[in-house]
Amino acid sequence: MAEGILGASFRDPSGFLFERDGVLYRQVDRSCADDYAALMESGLYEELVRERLLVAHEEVQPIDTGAGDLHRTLRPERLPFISYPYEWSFSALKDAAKTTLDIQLAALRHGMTLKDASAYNIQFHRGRPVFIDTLSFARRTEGSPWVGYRQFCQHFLAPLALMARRDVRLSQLLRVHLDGIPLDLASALLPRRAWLNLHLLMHIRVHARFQKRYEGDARATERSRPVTSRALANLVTALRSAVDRLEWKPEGTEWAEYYDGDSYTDTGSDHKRELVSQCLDVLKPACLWDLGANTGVFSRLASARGIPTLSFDIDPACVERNYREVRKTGEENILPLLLDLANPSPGIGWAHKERESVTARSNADTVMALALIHHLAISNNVPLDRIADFFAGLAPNLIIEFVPKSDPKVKTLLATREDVFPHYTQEGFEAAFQTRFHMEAAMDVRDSERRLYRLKRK
Amino acid sequence: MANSRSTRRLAVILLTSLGALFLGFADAAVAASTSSRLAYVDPGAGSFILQAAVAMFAGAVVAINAYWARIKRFLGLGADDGNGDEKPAARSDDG
Repeated sequence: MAEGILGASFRDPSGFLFERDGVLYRQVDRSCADDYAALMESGLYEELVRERLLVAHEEVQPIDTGAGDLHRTLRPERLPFISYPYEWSFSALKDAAKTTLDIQLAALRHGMTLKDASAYNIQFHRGRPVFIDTLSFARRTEGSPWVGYRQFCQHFLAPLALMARRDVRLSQLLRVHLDGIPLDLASALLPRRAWLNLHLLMHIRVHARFQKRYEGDARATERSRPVTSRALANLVTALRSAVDRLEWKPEGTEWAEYYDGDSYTDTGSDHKRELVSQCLDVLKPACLWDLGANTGVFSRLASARGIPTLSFDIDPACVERNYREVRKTGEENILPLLLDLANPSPGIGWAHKERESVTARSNADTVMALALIHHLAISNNVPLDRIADFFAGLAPNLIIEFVPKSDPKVKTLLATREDVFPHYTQEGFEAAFQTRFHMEAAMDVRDSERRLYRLKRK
Repeated sequence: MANSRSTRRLAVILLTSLGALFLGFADAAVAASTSSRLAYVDPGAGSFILQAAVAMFAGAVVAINAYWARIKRFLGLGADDGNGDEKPAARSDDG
């Protein structure tokens, strides 16, 4: 493999992404020359970029990578962070699905089509879903079915149906199945009442049966009925309607209601905000990761200051509420993502490099971990020095809150189990973190026994 | 509301039956030209055949959905059933 080619960029023979001197480029190969010209000349590229549905690029002097059959070199707008579908909330995946279909409808209007429908072609940038694969567009041959139909059902419709109709946690199947959830599996997991929905019945259950029936039948594709552009547009519109009807309400989980009944008094809560704001004003982060962000109350202290902020939480209901707030208010600097810190997104796919681990993707210069340490140290039994190591590996600056055993939240965690954490004290915390960080500031939060620290990596 | 649900179920069953009937003819359909330059992903033989069949009556489903929403609104049977145009930003119920 030529140097600099991205680990995820190998499936489509039309070209690939590569990095040179820290700049991201896309090579367009000769095999894709006519399709690329059609995208640029049909007005489709201009329309999609104007509507903020596709990342913009500029053509640069061709760079010979020694790989492929070079036709053009593009420099696409680089997004600061790449997230994956198994890190998105329900509504984020739904918006990504609708964006894919809207792009397909636009492509059909210009005599083109998407030749795939991978959820990995969508990213969230400035609060909105955007398509990132410039080489996914091809000229449409009248009568041909949509090659991406199966992929759309596996990457979007099946996970959304499972999340809405069975259990929202089933989005994590996307982490196991990189090409989307197999339809026979989705079909087996969905409840019977899901089949009262004609869309789900056809696009998932009947679809799974057809896949099985025609598996390996080389002549089946040739016998397929021609699909006119109008019929295909109707199919895409029907799929959009199917996606739009799927609903999930983020309620009833413990953490989604956290701020309605957290352990802070009003004075304590206001003071904590003031202290966090002070830290942000001192550090002025270029990019902040808020770990254990809940619905993003403290993330917004950063994003409101124009700091690009990733707002991670383990609870799908919190991430959903956070994402809905982003869409409702049009916030551009905050991206809510689902992450279990005790089992963070690993490097997966081919050679572990196709989808990178969350730590490999870190672009943060400051990590914020408020009301989180007790969940890691007590609920997950992670020793304090290992927590310090992990945070030190993520970013040079850390804003962290220590929650002592006397705090009601920690008391609850210890209520049903033996206290095997003799080192979980303020002194123990400071000793563990001072092996990796300089302590720049330590501030007691009023009306509580909690303490906020601003730390700098050694 | 109960009436509306049963009518809707009836419509779903009717459409499903029509769909199933239609799919029966799908195999015998004429060949479509599909360009190999498009197919770097496996489109799936079954997916192609089903899609071709479903696409034929997707227009009817789209039209029925639109009319169904109108009828429901006319009868005052509650909110829009979300037939595709509403943006999430306008529909947040995070309270």
